[in-house]
Amino acid sequence: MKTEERLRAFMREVDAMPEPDLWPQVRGRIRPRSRPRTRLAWAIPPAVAGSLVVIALVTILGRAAPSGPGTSAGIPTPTVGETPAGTVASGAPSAAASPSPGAMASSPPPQVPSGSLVVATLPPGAGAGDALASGLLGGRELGGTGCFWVDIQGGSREALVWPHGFAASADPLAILGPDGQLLATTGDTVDLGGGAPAAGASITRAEDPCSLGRLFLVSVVASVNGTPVSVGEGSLRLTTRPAGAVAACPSGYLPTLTLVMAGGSLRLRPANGADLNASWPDLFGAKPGARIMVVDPSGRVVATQGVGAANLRGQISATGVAVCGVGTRTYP
Amino acid sequence: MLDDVGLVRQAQGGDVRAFEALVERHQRSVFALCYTILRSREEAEDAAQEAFVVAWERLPALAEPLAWKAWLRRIAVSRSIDAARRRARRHAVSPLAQSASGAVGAVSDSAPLVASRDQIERALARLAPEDRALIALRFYLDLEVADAASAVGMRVGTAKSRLHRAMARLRTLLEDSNED
Repeated sequence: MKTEERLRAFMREVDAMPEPDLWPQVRGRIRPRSRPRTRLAWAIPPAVAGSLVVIALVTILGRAAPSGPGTSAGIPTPTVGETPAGTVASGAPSAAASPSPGAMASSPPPQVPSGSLVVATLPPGAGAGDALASGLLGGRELGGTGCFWVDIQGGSREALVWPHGFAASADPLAILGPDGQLLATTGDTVDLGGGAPAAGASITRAEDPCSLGRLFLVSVVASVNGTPVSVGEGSLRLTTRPAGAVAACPSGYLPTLTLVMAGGSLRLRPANGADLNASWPDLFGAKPGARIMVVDPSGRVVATQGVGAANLRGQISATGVAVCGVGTRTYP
Repeated sequence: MLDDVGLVRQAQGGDVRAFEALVERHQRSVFALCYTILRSREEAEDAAQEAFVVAWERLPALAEPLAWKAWLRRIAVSRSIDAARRRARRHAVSPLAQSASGAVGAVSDSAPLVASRDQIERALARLAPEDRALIALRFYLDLEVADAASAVGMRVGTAKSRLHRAMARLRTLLEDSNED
């Protein structure tokens, strides 16, 4: 027999060897890959990247008071079927690029993975609790519904109820934030702020589609694979105006206004009166973090969630407030 | 069922399940390639496993999903050659001892075939890992020399001459063993 023929016969024998099952070993060695993040910035300045519990607490405290339906004794009744909220109610959105790494201006929705799923979510403004659930995010699809859980170190598995406005994608199976941004995929290690339902509270099938019997009510996704995220309820999209839309910026300051997350979007709250929809100069954006911050195109912080700002300049109208300056600085 | 290109695109986006499908689809050929170079089932499994882990890590950088198979082969060949060189340095494994104990195993009970297989294993053991890789790519995967050269990271001319020399050496070794 020729050498070539003998070699081919040998190769056929090799090919007939029992096929190895490599996947279990490979799976144990690969790290889930984070998807490209949308326009949100995930890096938090070191000064605010403190303990995750603090992040969760401050984020919760910086929000509007819970007012949604189904809230009782601080433990809200989860709902099912919420989809990412349409968050910008008015103004002339600019399609301009994000002003700084991480800031998010009003812009077309980011591309998200295919196949939208509903997940169990809390009512608006209902996120609460200062507990931290850390572990591996798991999940599966059940007929158009995504049921997610966290495998907490030590062994317990808890079904997750997400902040208002969260949703999921089917492929990959992942949890999406209020702006449709991909936050975490099954297999990621997550730190979640929130809490358990009141003792004795019954768990419905809608809250726990996978019938795990234990719930964790998420108020904020604090970090994913060790990267701080701090995304909870509410959109980070700002309504921005094209440059030049405000002809002359008033020299006087507006009354003190506080940046708040209310009704699923960032608004400005006067000391007395209803929350105001705000339009911001072109290229302004919002950054997630322990406290959400609005930043100008150079990354300078203009307003911080929960902190009154007395140096904003702009025009108040029936539709809200158009911010056009901060301190001595004006924005065309 | 998605084809390789679809699965590769999904895996590039981080879809672990798509990558699992790719592993299951290609593990046999990757393993066989590694085995021909390493001639040890255990080491071949390790090298194949390593190749898939590296593939996962580098997958986002793969510009053309159509090139997935060739790209994966290159990784597998490279890992196997590295493993063979490490083994040669360690002198810890005796290929001849392995082949004598029937490393391929569970294939044929025919005595002449077993003898032939053992002879080939012994002869292959005398070749450099790169030459074994070229032989596996040419005679197992039926690749053209140019594709085999690419998988091993050689110029086509170099691969041609090395393959020619390797086959001549193999022929001599097999003839010698027939005379024994």
